[in-house]
Amino acid sequence: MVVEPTAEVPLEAIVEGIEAVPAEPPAPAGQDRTPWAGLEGGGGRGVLLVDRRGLLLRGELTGAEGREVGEEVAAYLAGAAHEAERTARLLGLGAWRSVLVEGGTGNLLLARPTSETVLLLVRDREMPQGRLTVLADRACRSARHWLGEQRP
Amino acid sequence: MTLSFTDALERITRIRGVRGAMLVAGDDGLVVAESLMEGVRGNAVAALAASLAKRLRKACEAAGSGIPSFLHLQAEAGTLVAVPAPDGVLVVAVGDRDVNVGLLRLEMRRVAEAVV
Amino acid sequence: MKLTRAVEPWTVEPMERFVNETAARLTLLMTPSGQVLAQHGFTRAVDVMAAASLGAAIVSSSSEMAKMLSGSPFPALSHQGRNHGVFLGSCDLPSQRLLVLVVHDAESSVGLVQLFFEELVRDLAAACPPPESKKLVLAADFERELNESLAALFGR
Repeated sequence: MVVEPTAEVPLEAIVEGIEAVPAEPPAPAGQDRTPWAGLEGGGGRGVLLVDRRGLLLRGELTGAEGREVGEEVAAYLAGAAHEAERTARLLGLGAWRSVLVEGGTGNLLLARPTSETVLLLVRDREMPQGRLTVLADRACRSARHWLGEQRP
Repeated sequence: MTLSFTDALERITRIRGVRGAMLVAGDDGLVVAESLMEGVRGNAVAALAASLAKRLRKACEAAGSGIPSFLHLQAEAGTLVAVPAPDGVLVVAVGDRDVNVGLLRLEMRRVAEAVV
Repeated sequence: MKLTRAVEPWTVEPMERFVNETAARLTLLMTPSGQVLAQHGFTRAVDVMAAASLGAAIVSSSSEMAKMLSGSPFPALSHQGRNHGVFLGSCDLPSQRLLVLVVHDAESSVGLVQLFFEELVRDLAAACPPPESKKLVLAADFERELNESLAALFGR
């Protein structure tokens, strides 16, 4: 079932294509990074939303040893996104839309929900690339929705 | 099977929608061999693809996903694909937006295994 | 802290753009005799003067060798070490010939430096003021001009 993004639906629910779960009560101050928790099915390792300076806006990512690596990866993503933008521009390919990376143990998909943010989706290698792209599209829509809500 | 650079690149460029294929020294971002349509800047493709691959490798390793074996940049008006080969060489292709990436991936992987 | 400093203000923008694009650690823009016009990344005057002298000497000696071999000088030289690379290129502007020395590390590559060096040459040619008649350098002015140059390059 495809879930349409709404303000009450956590992003994982949309990314995984599972039924929407009710909104959780507001997290205490300083703990606002867990709205995507609890949806680890489908070989998902995490979703990150990062700003252009490499700062994590939302999400979590579990590394190879089960360690949380979201902040570290966010820092690298800013450079990767900048390079993707420059490569596409200087080679006359237009604006970049996504970058897919097949790793030895997992696949990464970078997408651009807005011109100021980058979204990273990490899944096990078993997930077909086409499905990863579809999930990233949905995640981008949700990210845009969430970003819209954050505006004062 | 070992392929000459020319044969290897020709296997990639014969795919419909491919504008050019190259072998690139990954660390230096320099052209090793190229087969490009007119208007594709070989030195720019080599330098930028190598730099992108370097940055994505850092992100991929930090994310615990290992070393990249395939990169695909999708842009509004075109596509860039890179496959690491042994000895730090990158097989790189530039194509139209709607190039068959699945076929390109298969052929580039074969070339990466056979070329060095 | 501003890391790009110049004796010739028209060189600042092209230099900053080049450094931003290449992520070069150190960059020097100088005349073939080693007189520095702009620098990025150096913090000590002694280093910039030594690098400029050595860079100019390398270009000069390799140009002579190139003349012996083929009759025309090498357009650029590149030395690659384990952690750092050095690139030396020359550009002919309407008013003068300049040399560029670039030191880069693994954050950049010789390919990126070469790619954006072409752009740097175009930017410098566009920004370069028209040639002036050369004024005579007097001994009395030399030390004052040297001190002014050092102040411009290091902000002191």
